[in-house]
Amino acid sequence: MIKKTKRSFHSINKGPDIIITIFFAIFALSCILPFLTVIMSSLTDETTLIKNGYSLFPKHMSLKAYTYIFDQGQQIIKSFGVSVFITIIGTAISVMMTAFYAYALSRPKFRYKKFFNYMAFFTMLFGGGLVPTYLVVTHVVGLKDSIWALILPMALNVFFIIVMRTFFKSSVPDSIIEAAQIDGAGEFMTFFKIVLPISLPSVATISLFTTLGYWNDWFNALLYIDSAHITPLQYLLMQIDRNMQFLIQNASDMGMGAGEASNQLPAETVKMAIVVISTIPIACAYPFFQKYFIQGLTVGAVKE
Amino acid sequence: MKKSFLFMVTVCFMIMTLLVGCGDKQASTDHNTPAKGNEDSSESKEKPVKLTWYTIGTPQKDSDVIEDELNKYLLEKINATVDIVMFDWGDYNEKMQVKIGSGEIFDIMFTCSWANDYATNVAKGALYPLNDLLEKQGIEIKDSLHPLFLEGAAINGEVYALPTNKELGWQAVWIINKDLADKYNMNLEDMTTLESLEPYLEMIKENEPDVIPLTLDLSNTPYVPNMDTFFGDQMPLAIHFDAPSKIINLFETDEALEIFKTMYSYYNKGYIHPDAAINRAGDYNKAGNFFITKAHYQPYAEVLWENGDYTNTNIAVRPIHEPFANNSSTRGAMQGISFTSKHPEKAMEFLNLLYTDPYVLNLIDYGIEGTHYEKMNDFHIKQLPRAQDAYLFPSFSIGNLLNTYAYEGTPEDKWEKFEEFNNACINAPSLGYTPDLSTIKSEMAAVTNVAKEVSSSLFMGAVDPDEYVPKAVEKLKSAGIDKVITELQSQYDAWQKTR
Amino acid sequence: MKKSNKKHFIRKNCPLLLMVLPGAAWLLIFKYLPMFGVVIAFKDFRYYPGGFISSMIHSEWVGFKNFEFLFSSNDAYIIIRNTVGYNLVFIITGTILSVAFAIMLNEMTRKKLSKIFQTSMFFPYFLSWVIVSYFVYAYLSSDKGIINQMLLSLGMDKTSWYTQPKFWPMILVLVNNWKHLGYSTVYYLAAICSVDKTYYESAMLDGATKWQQIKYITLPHLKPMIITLTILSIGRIFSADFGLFYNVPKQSGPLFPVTNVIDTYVYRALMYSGDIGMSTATGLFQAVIGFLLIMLTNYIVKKIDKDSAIF
Repeated sequence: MIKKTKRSFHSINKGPDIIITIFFAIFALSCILPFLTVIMSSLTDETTLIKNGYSLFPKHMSLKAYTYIFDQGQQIIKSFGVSVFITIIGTAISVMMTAFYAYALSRPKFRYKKFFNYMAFFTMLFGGGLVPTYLVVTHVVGLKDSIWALILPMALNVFFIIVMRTFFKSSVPDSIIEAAQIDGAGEFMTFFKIVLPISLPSVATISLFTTLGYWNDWFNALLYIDSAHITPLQYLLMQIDRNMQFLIQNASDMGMGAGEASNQLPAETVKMAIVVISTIPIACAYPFFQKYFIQGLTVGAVKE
Repeated sequence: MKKSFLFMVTVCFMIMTLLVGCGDKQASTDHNTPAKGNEDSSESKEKPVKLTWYTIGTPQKDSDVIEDELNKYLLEKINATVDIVMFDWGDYNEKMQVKIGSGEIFDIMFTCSWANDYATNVAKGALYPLNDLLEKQGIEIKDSLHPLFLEGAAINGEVYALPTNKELGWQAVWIINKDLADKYNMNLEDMTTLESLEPYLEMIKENEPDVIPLTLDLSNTPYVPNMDTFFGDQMPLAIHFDAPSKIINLFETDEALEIFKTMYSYYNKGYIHPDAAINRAGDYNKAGNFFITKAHYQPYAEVLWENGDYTNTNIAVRPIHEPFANNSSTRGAMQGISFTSKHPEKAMEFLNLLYTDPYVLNLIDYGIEGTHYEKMNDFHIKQLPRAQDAYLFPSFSIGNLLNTYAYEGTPEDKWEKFEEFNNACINAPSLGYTPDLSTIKSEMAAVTNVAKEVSSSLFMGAVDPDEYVPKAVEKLKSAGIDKVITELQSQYDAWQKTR
Repeated sequence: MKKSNKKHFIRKNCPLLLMVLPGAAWLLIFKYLPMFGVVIAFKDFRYYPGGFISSMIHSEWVGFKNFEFLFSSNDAYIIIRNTVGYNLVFIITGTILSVAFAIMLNEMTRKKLSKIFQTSMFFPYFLSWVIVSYFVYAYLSSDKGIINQMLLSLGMDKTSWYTQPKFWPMILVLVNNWKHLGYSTVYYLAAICSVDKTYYESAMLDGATKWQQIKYITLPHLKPMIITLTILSIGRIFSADFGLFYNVPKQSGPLFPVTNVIDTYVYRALMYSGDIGMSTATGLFQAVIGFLLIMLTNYIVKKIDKDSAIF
């Protein structure tokens, strides 16, 4: 169904092509260098790091941060599992709900379009605040200290509904849908057989962003999770960040307590190692979704 | 459209009220579920009470092990069990805000002047008043605490949380890199005020290019002599020890100006890191790249420091001023009872044990003997590797430090020295005065922001005080600091009359 | 309504209603139920026995008092100017750059390389602002900073970057775009992918240049997405990215005039008290203004081009 088009009729002149390539090479390098520095820092000996700061070519290397993390054992592996679980399940639920909602809103003949449009849009801006939301999630839905508290509260993102609706509206011509429905296809049929295949790049985009959203989320864990065995990876990392921030702010008022608190902080190299461990898997997700950004997917191809 | 929204919100509100009502009931019945076991300790037929305790610190792997061990003992002793829930340092404020705000039912919480703010909690009614309970279940606590602790904790005569029995007051000290001091034959006795450090800093600057002579930073600012900064170091509100009836703007005092000037000259001479106002000095200290820094002291703190933040150097300690007790020192670590607690008496019985029963306290602080530590004698313990991996508890946050063990290498008279230290503490004028900020919320918001803006660069000497202090004062004034001071002053006067 | 009409109507709308149902239910529970909480923006919130609802009911009404701290200080103008100003610049530069990047990445002949670039551009997005701030500091620190070292080696004077407000609008815009471009480009890459290929084919046959193709085919197709994303970001123009403005300038006091935004101001203001009433008030204020601005923009867009509006 999907047919790659030949390059010939869509290529640009050699000059601009080279300039663009060089420009992006430099930009991409500027994006990747800090991350390489993080990787190298996680492989640096702790005292060297404190004395000399970050460096791409540290004087003394050490695997200690990683051996420490894996000696510590269970926690990081458990958290990794939690992150993977919530990301996969969450993305599946979320993209489904988003696509349905967006499709319905994109149909001009849907009578309650306006109502549901406003209903969604209104919540993008207005919220009840931290404590009422906490109350609803824990008491009404009953998700306190449950892994679902990491999935359900962010299962829908109105921003993505609106973006996806725009995708549907601009890439799926009404005429095709109408033609299909005259042929007797119902809304669900049209949605799965025509709209989704045509909109594959947009579904991939929203899935990618939802995946990132779930993987990077730590705030729900902060609010709803009290037990260590269901904390996601990103939260482990944020905890370290936040502890350091907290100590910087309050050290003078904490007196001797500050020392006891900083004893509980992991070493800088360990922190960098956690950054590496939590970023690599999700960075691999991008090429996976990228596969679906294929140009040349024509409406005609779908109809065939 | 608008109407239907309004309708929807109303309906939601009603459903909400119903559901939350149910939720609460559920939670409360949950609370009375008995812990298992212990039917035969028949001195009371009551079901054992389960206490929930939220406290600060990085959650530890072995918490459950310690909890089980503790609960065995507590069932016997006070017919209760306790569920210790630790929230990480950086999370504690948010966690407690939603737990308290949503009216969750729990029993004990950590509260203090720098996290889960004590005064705010009292003002909003989150804490259970303790005076009566102290007379009944906690009489021994009163005996074990230095009286100034409870004086500092009391708000309008009522105590709402129990301070840890530890060092009572603040005493800033210089921490000196002894290796360098010995190398250059320095006389440590001469190092007292900030000004007195000059010749030594100069010597280090000239001879040790890799060392930062004075590592102060935004969270570790120099001490302004004779000032009781009763609002914490971050706010420019102070009371002069020699004029204890007046609240003043710290930036308008000569003492502060002197400090700023000295720091400015130090900064220009390169004694201070050029980015001190935004940087953390901790790394330099840890690496041993420092000569002098500052910290708050407790007796034999140097032993802890050499094993903790200053592992790479020998250090010496020189006091900057006499210790004094104000609210931020006496309220440095407290445990209070939640107003939602169904069992305040039991909670108090448990808190009482933290002050009087060394077994309970040491179990929570250090873990299980043989697993997390080894006893060397009645006073000293040796930490076992497992403790580093699985159980570190911030001991300053609970109970009576004077009942705890100490790590090997600690002088045996540590706790006597603590008592000496506490007895030597001067009362700061503001001790026990808790301002009510409800009428000056907006001004406080603005003043806090201005203070954050101006103080770090002045204190680190990054700007010329002659030019910048008047500007800072001007900014503070336009943010409403005068109104704040007037309001605080009138409350302060009223409070002084009641004493 | 006639019976047959009704039947037809139900058959037509029922499947669509079913599709909306899960999302609508979710919105009701997770978004609308908690909304009763905005009431505390107008109350002096205190705790009373019986849980949150009871506390809310018993707390005293204070009218708009919780909002006052946002406007009463002299900084009010500065923080609002900064918040809106930066957001406007972010929207404009972000949109132009990400559209340009998407088109260029799409036009590159070496598709493999293009994919590698896209992936690399995503990395900054994964680094938290705290870590980004370390790297910015590595460039800008007074003594060891890379830029100061370069200046020295070129025979110029060092600059104390963290005390000079004039550089920071530039730095913040750069850093923000650097971090988010990888992400926002994807929207447009995906949108370009769904342009019907046949348009380009016929354009080629008519002898259109590359530039003409971009101008007359690609850009018009991207227009709905550009407008949607712009309208949506205008709704957030009163809320700033806290991490960027708090961590990257390292809270340096002298930079406050150009780095203090509503969110950092409120954070510092409520650091000690954690007043729920005041934080709710801030959220409500940002939402109301955002709502009004979105409605206004949408109205204007509608006047110009009816199809592009989001309502």
